[in-house]
Amino acid sequence: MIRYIVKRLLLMIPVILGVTWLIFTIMYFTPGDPARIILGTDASEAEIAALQEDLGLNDGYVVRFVRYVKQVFIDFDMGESYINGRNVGEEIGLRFPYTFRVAAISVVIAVLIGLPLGIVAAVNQFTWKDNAAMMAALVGISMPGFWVGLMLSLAFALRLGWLPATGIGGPQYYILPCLSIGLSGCASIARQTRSGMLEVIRQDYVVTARAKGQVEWKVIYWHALMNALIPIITQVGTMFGIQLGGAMIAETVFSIPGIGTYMVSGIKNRDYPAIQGSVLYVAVIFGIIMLVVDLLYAFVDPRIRAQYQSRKARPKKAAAEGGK
Amino acid sequence: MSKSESKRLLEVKDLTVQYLTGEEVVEAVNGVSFTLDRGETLGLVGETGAGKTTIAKSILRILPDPPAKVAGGEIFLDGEDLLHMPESKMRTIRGKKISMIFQDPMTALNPIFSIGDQIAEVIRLHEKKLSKKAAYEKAVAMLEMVGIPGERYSDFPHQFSGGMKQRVIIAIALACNPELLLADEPTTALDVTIQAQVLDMMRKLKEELGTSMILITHDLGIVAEVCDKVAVVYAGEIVESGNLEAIYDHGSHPYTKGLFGSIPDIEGEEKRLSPINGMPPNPADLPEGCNFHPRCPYATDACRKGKIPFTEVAAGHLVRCVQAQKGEF
Repeated sequence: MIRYIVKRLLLMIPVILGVTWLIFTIMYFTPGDPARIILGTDASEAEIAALQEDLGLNDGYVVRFVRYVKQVFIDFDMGESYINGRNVGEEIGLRFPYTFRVAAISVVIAVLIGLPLGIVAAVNQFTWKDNAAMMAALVGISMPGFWVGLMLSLAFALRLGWLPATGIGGPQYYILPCLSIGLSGCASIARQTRSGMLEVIRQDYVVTARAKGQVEWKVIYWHALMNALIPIITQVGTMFGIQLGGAMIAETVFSIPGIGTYMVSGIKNRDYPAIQGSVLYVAVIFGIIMLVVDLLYAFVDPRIRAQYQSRKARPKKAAAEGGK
Repeated sequence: MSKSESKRLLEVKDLTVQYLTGEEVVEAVNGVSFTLDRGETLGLVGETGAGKTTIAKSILRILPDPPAKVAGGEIFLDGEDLLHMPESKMRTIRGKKISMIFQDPMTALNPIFSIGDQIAEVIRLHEKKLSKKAAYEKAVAMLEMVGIPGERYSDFPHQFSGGMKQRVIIAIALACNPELLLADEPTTALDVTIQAQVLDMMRKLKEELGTSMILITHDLGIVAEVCDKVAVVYAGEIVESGNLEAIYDHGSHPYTKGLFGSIPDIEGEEKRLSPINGMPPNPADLPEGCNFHPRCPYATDACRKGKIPFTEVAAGHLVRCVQAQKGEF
């Protein structure tokens, strides 16, 4: 298992280098001159030329790329923002807790609503409960998250005045953004759960569990659900990864000082170091989340666990059958 | 426990099961009646789709509802009405008094739990006083009884062969010393040598534990080896029933005869088997009169209308056939 984790972490290196190269190249070919942006419109040509030289913008593509890679991966420095001169890495670190809290709470909300909804729908397939749950999921999937956010803030912040509409502070500030992300996310989890459950619920081993005299809720939540979990874990993991990468729209709507708003303002201001830094951060976060998801598979399913076991620990024949 | 000392264990009366799909009603089981005494083994024989598994599953009340519906009849275990008892009480019977061995060992075990835990589950469900450790020990003992080393308790189903999985399933079924064992084609998915081992084991365990058994199969050889009584099922109906000798030596229904005609005889010199012509009827559209008449070489006009009653051709030997009524067999 340890070998597998180390192998996966090592595999992340080329992925992250690839992402770095891609984002650097895109930024390189994007029109617009950072020196002009930093100095503003009323700077003289001489000042601009001096700054361009200073930032190394006159060097060739390869030189600049190698310099950036060295700066990020050897000096662990993501550079300074062109706009306010603050270190990009530090800025991301400061914003991460907000994004993390919003992401975690919204995923929990989505799972707490989506999972039971999907299970109820599958267990009562083709009945009104199924129809009602899937109707709700359809409505949820059709509503864009930012619109739900706006409507929620209209109702609970402006009309009723129960909750703050924007900004971040105490726990009450998290309710509306997390609810709006969670509500739109629970729909896809509900649909995934339903189709996964429908697949396992008619399996022979579920009948075996009933024939043992097991109580129905345990048959459903233990014997069936544990077998339907893998696609659901993937879905939840992906959702968590996306949210950790910054819920750009929700963070913008609710003015949360997270990674999402940082990226949006970076893009608006052509703040290259900020954009490159946050894209890199997203790539790393996603790599880690997907690794955790894969490890969860192994935790849930012994067949996958057997594949992850190091080859040395197993007899040769089993290794050949195991695949990986 | 005066009730349970009576000889009769199970009584099925006029059981009727239907599958309600969108437009049509599939008549899977039509008025099946039989009885089973303690320690006795009944063989339910018939083609695939004749309704044998449905009969067994309705005794345990584990038919998928919807679409399946028990439309009529009664099932008594020890005089207790199984079909009308509350679900909570039924759960104390499933796995304890009645247990079932399923047809396909490859899919009947939950792939993500260890086989030992799956055996211990049924033990802990029905013997609540047992500690976790005692249940573990009993599960290990069950594994060893079916010939699997106890150290393999924590192994998962994918680490076992089909024959060993079937042993695990048998261990689950026998873990709580059931009074009635429903064995649904327990050897169909296994190859012949493993078949013999599993049958041998089942017979031995049955003798040791005194369990009654309903053996569902389409293999007449297995029935001859294991069963005391036989009921031949055709299109959801018992067409002939009696003890082993009655059916094997004096089989009277044309369908029973047809079944035996399609088995090769080692000593005979026939070049060809004599199969039963035609196909079993569509259970959503059963023929009028005797269900077998479209395929029956002896069919007459009398076979084409009305329900054919049983005729007792010898003591305990019932045949559902017009010819038998006339005393021609």
